[in-house]
Amino acid sequence: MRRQGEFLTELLDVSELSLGDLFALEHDDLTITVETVLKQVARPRANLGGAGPPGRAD
Amino acid sequence: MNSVESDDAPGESAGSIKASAIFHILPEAYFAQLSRGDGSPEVIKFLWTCERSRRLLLLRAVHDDINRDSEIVAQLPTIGESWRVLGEAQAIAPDRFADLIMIPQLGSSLAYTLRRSRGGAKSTAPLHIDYGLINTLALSAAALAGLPFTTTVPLRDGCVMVPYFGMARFDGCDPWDVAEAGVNDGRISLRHGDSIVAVPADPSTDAHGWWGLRRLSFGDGPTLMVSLDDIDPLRDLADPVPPVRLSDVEVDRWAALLGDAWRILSDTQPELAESAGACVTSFVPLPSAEGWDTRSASTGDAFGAVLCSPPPDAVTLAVALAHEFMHIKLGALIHLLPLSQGGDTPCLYAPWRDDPRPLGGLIQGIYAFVGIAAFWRRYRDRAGGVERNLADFEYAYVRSQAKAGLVTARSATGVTLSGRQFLAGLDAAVAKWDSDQIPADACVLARLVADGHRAGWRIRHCDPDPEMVTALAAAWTTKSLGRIRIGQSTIRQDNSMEHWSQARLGLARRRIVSQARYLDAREEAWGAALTDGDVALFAGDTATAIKGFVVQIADDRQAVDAWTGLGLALTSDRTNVAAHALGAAILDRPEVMLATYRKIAAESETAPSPIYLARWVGAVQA
Repeated sequence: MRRQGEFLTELLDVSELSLGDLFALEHDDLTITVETVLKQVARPRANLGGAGPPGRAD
Repeated sequence: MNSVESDDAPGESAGSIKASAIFHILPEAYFAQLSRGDGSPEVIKFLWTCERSRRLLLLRAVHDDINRDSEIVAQLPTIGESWRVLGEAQAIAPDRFADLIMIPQLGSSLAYTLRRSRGGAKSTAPLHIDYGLINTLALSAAALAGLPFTTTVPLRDGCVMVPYFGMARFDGCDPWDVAEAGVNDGRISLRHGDSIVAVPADPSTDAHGWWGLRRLSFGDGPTLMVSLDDIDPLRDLADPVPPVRLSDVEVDRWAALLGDAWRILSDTQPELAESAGACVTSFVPLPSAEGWDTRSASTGDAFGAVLCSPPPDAVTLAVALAHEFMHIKLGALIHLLPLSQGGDTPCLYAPWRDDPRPLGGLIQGIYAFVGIAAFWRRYRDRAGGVERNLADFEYAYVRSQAKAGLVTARSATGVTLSGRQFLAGLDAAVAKWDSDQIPADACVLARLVADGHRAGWRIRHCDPDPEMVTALAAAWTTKSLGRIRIGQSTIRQDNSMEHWSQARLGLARRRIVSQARYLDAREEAWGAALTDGDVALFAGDTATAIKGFVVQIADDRQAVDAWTGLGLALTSDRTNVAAHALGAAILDRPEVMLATYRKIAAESETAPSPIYLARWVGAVQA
């Protein structure tokens, strides 16, 4: 979602929470954002670059 | 998260907390920087904060998994103590705790554990071996916070990675086993049976049964400080791998290469180096692989980690660092805002890949190749002689790849609103490079490789409508000039990920680097597929090239690259407008030409001339 001068992301900001608070947190948005993260890890995206001989382009 | 209200002390098990959810807010100015291919240290710091949230959410998911599964709890009876110590360590030493949980490989470990428990990864390991990483994490946290602690840690083939510190190894273990572990006075020790591993005072050094996680630092201005990770089982892309301990000689070689590569990046792209230094915290040496010169990699789960196999020189490593830094930034952005939805079918042309790619992969590649082009663009100014000529070619080639990828992605279905804005930003950034002066020779070679790759991709992965091919063949046989509509081709997936494009790319580079050894290219392993036509084409002998490819097509109906070569050769004759148009038609739809040629040849005694056939297809095309 885009607002004036900023984007509202899909990631819940728990960056400053203590583990105790994090584990006790209950919120619908937490469930949704955890589900989003679980979907991301379910299909890991690997970035693989490489160069065949005899060059240096990836 | 100031809207969370709790009376519980930090680190202790809190009661149920109701919160007003706050989502990370991405400033538009940050998005604009990223969509230009940039990203200041301030933006990188923001991404780290967001990734910290993501890492904590992964921990929360693991915590919930364990609480839901009594079997795991039964197999990890001290797990509750681990959670308690983690919380206490966070309260006592918050910065060290934050550094610990942001170790890139911990992100991969948590992701793997969650993925495997949901059937997304296969292993014979009992689940408590995976979930037991919480005990090892608590062991590290306790040591960093100076807390006394004892626990059991899981062993994979007798080894356990203690995050931040290193790997303990025991002999005589079952494939999946456990060891007792503890922290006293900040020092870690582990025991399996009668074997004891005492982690040395400097844990980055080796000791009996212990491989320390080495750390390297480079640069006076922009600095790069990384762990040199050859041991963590989750240092690779998705699944556990065994340790491959580097010898001291190998460490010295990597240190020298990284130092030189970092100097190159710092000199040519100081702003990028400043940001990359704030982002990259782990370097993972990959083993060399047959058929690859240098390969590099990264994954969104391990923010801050770059993987790379031994490069031939520091410039190659600098390119790899710039390349993977772009992927890492984009991986973090995509965690915040999806740039594409759906589009999972690999059906798009990515100029750097020999196989069809899905939309998400294409966007990742575009971003990386914008970064690579930016590197060569700046590096050209530093290089001289042959090195400069090669850099000019690389810049021209990679820039064309990025631009072609952008055209495809911007017209693809499944790009989100944010994705469209992101791609538009990249497009505008790359468009500013259009006025760059690049020597004509470099542009010619880059055009040959780029156009040949696109045509080679089409002729291998695009299936024309068989009814249309039948109609074309019938019309040829009856000499009909009625109009025939040539519709879209079907993109065929390539699960084998066949590599087929390196020979002409190698030939172009050989042409630049060593004209004296140019004719030897066909003797090289990478040049085995080259023909007389290719050698003539890249040397500028268009007439010989055309003859060579025509003969090759007549001799071998499987010679798909002869068709693309013929198209390239015809378009190379700028003085002959008709020939150029004919070549362009072949390069545009080589799969149609090939399928029609084969159909006619199979149904008649003589195969048609490929040039006449191409001209005729152009004439009857509706």
